[in-house]
Amino acid sequence: MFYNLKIAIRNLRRNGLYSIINIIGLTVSLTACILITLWVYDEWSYDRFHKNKENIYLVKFTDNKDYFDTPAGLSVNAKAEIPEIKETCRIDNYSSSFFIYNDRYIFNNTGITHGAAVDSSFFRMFSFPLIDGNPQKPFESDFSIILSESMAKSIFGDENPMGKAIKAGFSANRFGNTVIPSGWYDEYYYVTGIMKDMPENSSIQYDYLIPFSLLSRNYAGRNNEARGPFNSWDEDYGTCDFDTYLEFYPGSNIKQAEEKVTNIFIKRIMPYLNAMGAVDQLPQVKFFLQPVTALHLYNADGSSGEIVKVRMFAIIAGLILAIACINYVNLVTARTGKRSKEMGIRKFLGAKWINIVLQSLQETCVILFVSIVLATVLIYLLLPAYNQISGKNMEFHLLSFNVLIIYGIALLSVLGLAGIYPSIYLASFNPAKATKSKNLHSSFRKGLVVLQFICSIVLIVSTIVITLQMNFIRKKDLGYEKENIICVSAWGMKGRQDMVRSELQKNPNITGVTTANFDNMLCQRYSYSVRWQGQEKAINFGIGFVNFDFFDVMNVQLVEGQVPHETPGEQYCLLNETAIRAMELKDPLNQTIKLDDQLHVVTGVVKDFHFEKLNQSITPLVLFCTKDYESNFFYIRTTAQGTKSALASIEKLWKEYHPNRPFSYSFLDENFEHLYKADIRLGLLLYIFAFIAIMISCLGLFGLVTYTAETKTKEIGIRKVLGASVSNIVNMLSKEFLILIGVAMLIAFPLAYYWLDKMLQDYAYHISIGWWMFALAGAITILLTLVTVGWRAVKAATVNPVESIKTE
Amino acid sequence: MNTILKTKHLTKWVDNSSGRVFLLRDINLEIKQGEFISVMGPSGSGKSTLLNVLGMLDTFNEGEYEFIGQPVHTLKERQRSELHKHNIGFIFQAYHLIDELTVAENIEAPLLYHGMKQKERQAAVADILDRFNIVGKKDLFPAQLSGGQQQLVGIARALIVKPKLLLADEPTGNLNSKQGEEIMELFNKLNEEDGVTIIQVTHSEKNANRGDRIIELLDGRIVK
Repeated sequence: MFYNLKIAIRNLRRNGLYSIINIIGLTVSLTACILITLWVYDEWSYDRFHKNKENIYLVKFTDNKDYFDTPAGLSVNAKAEIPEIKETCRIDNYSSSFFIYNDRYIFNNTGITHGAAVDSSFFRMFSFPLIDGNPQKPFESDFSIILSESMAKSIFGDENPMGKAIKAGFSANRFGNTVIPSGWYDEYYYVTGIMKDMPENSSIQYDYLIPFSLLSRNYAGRNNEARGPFNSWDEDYGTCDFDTYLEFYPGSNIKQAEEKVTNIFIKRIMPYLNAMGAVDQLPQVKFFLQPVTALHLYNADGSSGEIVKVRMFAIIAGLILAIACINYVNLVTARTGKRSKEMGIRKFLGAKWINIVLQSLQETCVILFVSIVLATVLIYLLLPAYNQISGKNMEFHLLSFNVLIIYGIALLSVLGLAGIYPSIYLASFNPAKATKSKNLHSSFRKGLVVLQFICSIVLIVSTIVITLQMNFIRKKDLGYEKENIICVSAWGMKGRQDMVRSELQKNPNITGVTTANFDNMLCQRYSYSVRWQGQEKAINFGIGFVNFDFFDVMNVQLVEGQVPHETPGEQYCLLNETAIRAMELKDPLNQTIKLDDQLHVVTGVVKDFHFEKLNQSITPLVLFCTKDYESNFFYIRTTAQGTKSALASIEKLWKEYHPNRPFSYSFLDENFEHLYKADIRLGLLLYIFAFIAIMISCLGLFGLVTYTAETKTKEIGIRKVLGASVSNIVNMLSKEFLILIGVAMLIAFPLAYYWLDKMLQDYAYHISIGWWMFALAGAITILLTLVTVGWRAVKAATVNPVESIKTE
Repeated sequence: MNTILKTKHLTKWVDNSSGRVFLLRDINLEIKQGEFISVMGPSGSGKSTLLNVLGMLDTFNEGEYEFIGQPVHTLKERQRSELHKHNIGFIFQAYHLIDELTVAENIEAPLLYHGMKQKERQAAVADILDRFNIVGKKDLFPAQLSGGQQQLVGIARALIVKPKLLLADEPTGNLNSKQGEEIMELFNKLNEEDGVTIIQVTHSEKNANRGDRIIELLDGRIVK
């Protein structure tokens, strides 16, 4: 045992360069591999902490075009009519701007706290622990509130929050269902529970919860048109805006349940459609149940979502590990020429196959041990930066179960891939031949090098294409001008927008001010039934309320018609080009359309602009012009140089309206970047890991060419004596590798094309893959190879031949 | 007869921990076209070093060396390499054939570096295989040949570029006496019939006497 270990360490020291190449390669790849695995694990672990995760499903439905949330009544009927259901829970989202406690305003740093109205089954169904409060009956009355630990801390400090009364400035984050009327801002909410902050790997993410029953108080206040025949939220099927979670008893048939839910919906929607006079418009709907564990990684219909990225990174981790293992195998088998003599002699001396395998494995173990120690140190050092880049909060504890599992897998795969093969290979040498055989398995080695380069080339092409795609999206013409726009919340200035506007326009650096009810130029979409020219259709409309000058300030073009300047109100509307096409509306100007039973006259057609993320294509949009409707957001255009002065003016006004609230603003173009942050982060991670993979490949190549140069020292000497020049020799040494790269390219390019083409289809607006992207990737690979190989080859070629051919 | 090479005060040394060690000291030589010279001397006397320096494989520190009228000591590396490539053939005691190449490929190797076209190369190789009577062996690898045959290939390879000067470092050192005799016969024939200038390093008095004159080295100096 120790004898072998001693020999192993001595061998590693003697072959210093190769040992260092192996250790660096394995260390870097283990580090990268574990960092990626942490990321992958983090993504995978989303929503898996719920004890009942196997049985919880989110209900969605589709009309074969779009996906919708559920109506509030569904949960009640489903529970009553489907015996397999154990528990149901509805969730309605809010964003809230602030809380008031003892006349003190408390704002979240980010400006927005997320809250929800939930059924009291929430804590029974989901595994969110309560620090204080009763999970069976979390809300004592309609005006109860449950706060997250950190929310409670920022409101109450060290005080005990239980039973304390606070006011809250809720603002519903969707149009049309401002469920909490503004009068309720003056109500006191009593804290009846404190929950642990929801873990970061939870798709359900709230800072506070209020009871769903509170909403029902307001149902009667809705207008009759929207209510239809329903009397309460528990009956309502007219508003499909709620998340409904169902918990089933274990072993329930989910497929059957989906059908039952669909039937319940159709049965209940009929009276509503009757009341609306639209019974012939029963949409083709299909309900489906999405497992809670699939919320983060899959799309609503079960197709691949985020999981694509997770898979991509898992594959990259595998590739990086594989590349390092290939390096190891290559270098060990390449050197068997030298080692085989030793092995041969050992066999003559009576060593069994297993002895030799063990000896060789021990060398692998020593190298792995050193690499794991170094990798652990590296991971600790790199984790903060890695968290920052990936925007996650991953933790690395050496002795935690997860990390040990990862190391275990790495250990086994390296031992398996990199240890066993060379060991058996070394051990199986026929002792009689052992002293002569030199390049027995060189074709196997060539195969591995080709494999390695396939990995690298695919990664390089991917990096190029993904970078181009990101740039394409960022530079895409959005249909409006996003530069030099400051976004400011209009909360608290409501109804005084005109005064604010005229005050701001006194500053010459402010060239335009407008308001809209949507933030960051992103409009929400809702399903509306639209009637026009004797037709009727359910169409998903983006909807926005904007001020008259919105079009001038944001530089949104009108194709025809005009903005209804003089007569604000919802009787007029503007449609975008896509809406006109979707409705097949001829001569749209001055046509009357009926949107959810309200009549609107079309006064203009707006040139298409992007009001959603760019992975969506532009959908129909309807814009209403208002003076001071729910316009929660100011868009302020400044001159390019005058931003500072403009901000000063805005802040001054802000202070007049919000003496209690810190000034907050953002730039539209920065917000836009922020929207694609996840993509940008992903791109950056891809860069880093592709770079690592390529570097490790080059490292292996360097080792191989060093070895080749070493074994060919004599041949190089002879050739030089025969008149070969340095470039002849460099050619000779590099040619083989270049051929291998050529083969790798032939295989890698179609592979890369296939998967990149598939990936780009996820984007509604994407670049097309061009031949030059492959050419560039090829050129980069060849260049890297030439640098790696050439440097060593030149060194070998310039050795004085007298040294290399000296007779022994 | 023309002078093929001439050295004046040629000196080579290396510095090591115990001071300066002279490998060649004040070598003055003049060799005419068509001469057959034998270099003798005990081990370490500088025979091989002298051969390497004359063959431009190695450099020297002092003195002058003129080869077919060109002052080698003033030439740049590249020019020296050209001069060497076109005019000098080398033969080694250990043959130094390339194991991975066949006999024909070994012989062809130097021509690759002369920029010769494939057709011409094949013709030249066929010619010399014929001349050396080894056509039947052209597709064998060095390991499949006897020592004498390998050396024959080595000589063929050296001669294929039609060198003016043939340098042989103990060409018969690894051969038995019969094979040695045959190689020496060949040398005489090349020298007499083809007019090739030969400088051979040898330990054998008998082989040395086949040459026109003998240069004896001791501790890097010419003693005779």
